[in-house]
Amino acid sequence: MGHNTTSTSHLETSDIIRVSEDFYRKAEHAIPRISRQFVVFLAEGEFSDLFSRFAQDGICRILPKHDDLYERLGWDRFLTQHRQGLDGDLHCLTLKSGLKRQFQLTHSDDKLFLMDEILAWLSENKLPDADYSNALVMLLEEMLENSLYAAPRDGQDKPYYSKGESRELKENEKIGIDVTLDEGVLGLMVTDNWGTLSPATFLKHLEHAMQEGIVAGVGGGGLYMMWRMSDYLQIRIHPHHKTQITVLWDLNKPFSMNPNTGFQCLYHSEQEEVMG
Amino acid sequence: MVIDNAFSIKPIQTGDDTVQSFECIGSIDAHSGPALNEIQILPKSTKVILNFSQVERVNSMGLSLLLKTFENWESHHIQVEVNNLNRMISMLFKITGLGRFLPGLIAQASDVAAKNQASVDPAPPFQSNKTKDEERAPTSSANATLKFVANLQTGQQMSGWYLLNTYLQRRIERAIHLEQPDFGQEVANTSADLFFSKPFEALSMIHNHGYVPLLRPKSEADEVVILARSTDSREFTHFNKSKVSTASKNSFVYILGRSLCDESGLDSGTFDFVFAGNEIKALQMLIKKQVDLLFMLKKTYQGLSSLARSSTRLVDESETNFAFHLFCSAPYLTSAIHQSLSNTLLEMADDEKGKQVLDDIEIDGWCKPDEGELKMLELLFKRYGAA
Repeated sequence: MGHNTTSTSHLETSDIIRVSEDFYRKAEHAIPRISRQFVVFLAEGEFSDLFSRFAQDGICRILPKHDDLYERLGWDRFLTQHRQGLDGDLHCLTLKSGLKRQFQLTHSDDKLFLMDEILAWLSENKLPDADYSNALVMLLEEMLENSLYAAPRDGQDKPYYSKGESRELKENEKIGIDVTLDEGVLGLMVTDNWGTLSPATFLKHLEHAMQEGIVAGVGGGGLYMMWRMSDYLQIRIHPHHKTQITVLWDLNKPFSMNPNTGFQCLYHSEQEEVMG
Repeated sequence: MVIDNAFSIKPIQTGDDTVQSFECIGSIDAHSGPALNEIQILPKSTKVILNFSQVERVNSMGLSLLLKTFENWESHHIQVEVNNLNRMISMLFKITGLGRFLPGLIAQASDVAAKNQASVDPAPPFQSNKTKDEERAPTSSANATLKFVANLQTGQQMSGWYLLNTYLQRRIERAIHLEQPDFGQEVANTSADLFFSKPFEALSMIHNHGYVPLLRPKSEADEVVILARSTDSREFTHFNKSKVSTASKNSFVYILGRSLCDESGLDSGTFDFVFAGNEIKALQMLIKKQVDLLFMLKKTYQGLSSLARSSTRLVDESETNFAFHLFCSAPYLTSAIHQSLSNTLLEMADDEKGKQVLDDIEIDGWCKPDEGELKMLELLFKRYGAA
């Protein structure tokens, strides 16, 4: 279905359905209700106008077909993300040979220290463009704010903590940070053990921010920034167990905030999530 | 970019009653509400100029607070102009819709005080089903699956250890199930049949539960550094009765650190120890002057940025060459299994597949721990670890 055999012959992961943009925009056929993990939309260019349809059709894996980053790292790495790797997503997506740092956050007050430490480490490793390290610390802060304040929610989806509140992590609460740097690719991953985000919420925030910009009092600005300020965004959710957010930057091209960034939001649940 | 969390707003004299100018300084985030509140109420129909030349960063919460302020002014016909944004913030304004305020805007007032949601004690997130008092029971039958727990060194990835697990299963023809302990969980609480762990944790299992040390990695030993603040010029021997931070009490870093101090003529028994939970947290405590000394794993120290290293001063480091991670086996497993495991691990470096696995687990090869090394470890463990 929707295979573009001329230019996607390199995308031969057999257990996924690849939906080409031409096919999808013609809207002649309904997308079958199969698990969303197996559907990948291959974008030719900008695709944000399709967000509401993606939400409706349960499409959460959008990869730009002509992006050099995917070619360099290997399409298979991206197309097989629905099969869970043993290591964190960042380590599955990038080359093993690169430099890496790992941290654990134990208190909200650790945030600035870790941001400083990572920034200094990146500076010593001579990133070609300071925009990338600045973007990394900005997104790191957004991810940590998510893990500290947005993710911890009760059964009624009410957050336990107020934004900016100084707090120590609970005994069973974990927030891990991974940063990798190898030839041409900078990566960041933050993992928490809440798992309260859903693909529907994620898509809703992106669509809303693209249409209205950030609206005071409405959340999701951080997720939108993660998408716009990176060259690849991946969110893996194990409901009530884990949320892992990974972003990559292609250091071989100038920093930009273009709206063509690919993303994959993978939701691991035995029951299909109800779309918003 | 130097990260500074504090945000302040200073008025600038303009000499024009219809123009209010402010210098914005620091980072705009969830904590910036009070500073922005102070300039919410301004005379109608004035023009506000905000100078952002000293604003380092704005996060999504900061954008939201700014937006509220701008909309507030807009409703009071107050025009706003934001100047000298850095490149990143300028781009951020454009992609989030705040760019529309930049050419000249008008606003209205509303309270931007952060919402104070009642803080309740949250239910903890996902907890492992494993309990700390899970019984350590011998594997019941000769063919039962062996439980292998690998407590990895910082930065190592699990995938290589799964490959090692598969390699071992095939070679010794016995099912082995690999697990990684939860964050902060001790191997002692995992009922492992086989484990690979840090020196003193391994020694504790050997000492208290009779585990058999089979092999250690050939690579360099785990060593410890002792750090003071760079501004603290005291001789090492003048640190008696100091406050000392380290990650954990159940760690060879703590034990080796104490031993180093005692060897240098300090009495580590007079120290007031603070166990920070992890090494970076312990480092922060030193830099923030909450403690005088820090015991840290040498590998962690070497991986720090020069910014962090320059805030510290290396006052001593161990050169013991006897503190290694150990691969151990449960006492109730037969000597045949011990032998088979040892042989398989020792021969890995001679086998192509084995070499690949060694590469993946970042170990050069295996060798038998020297009797003297274990005795030294045990000596230190008995002296400090049992305390």
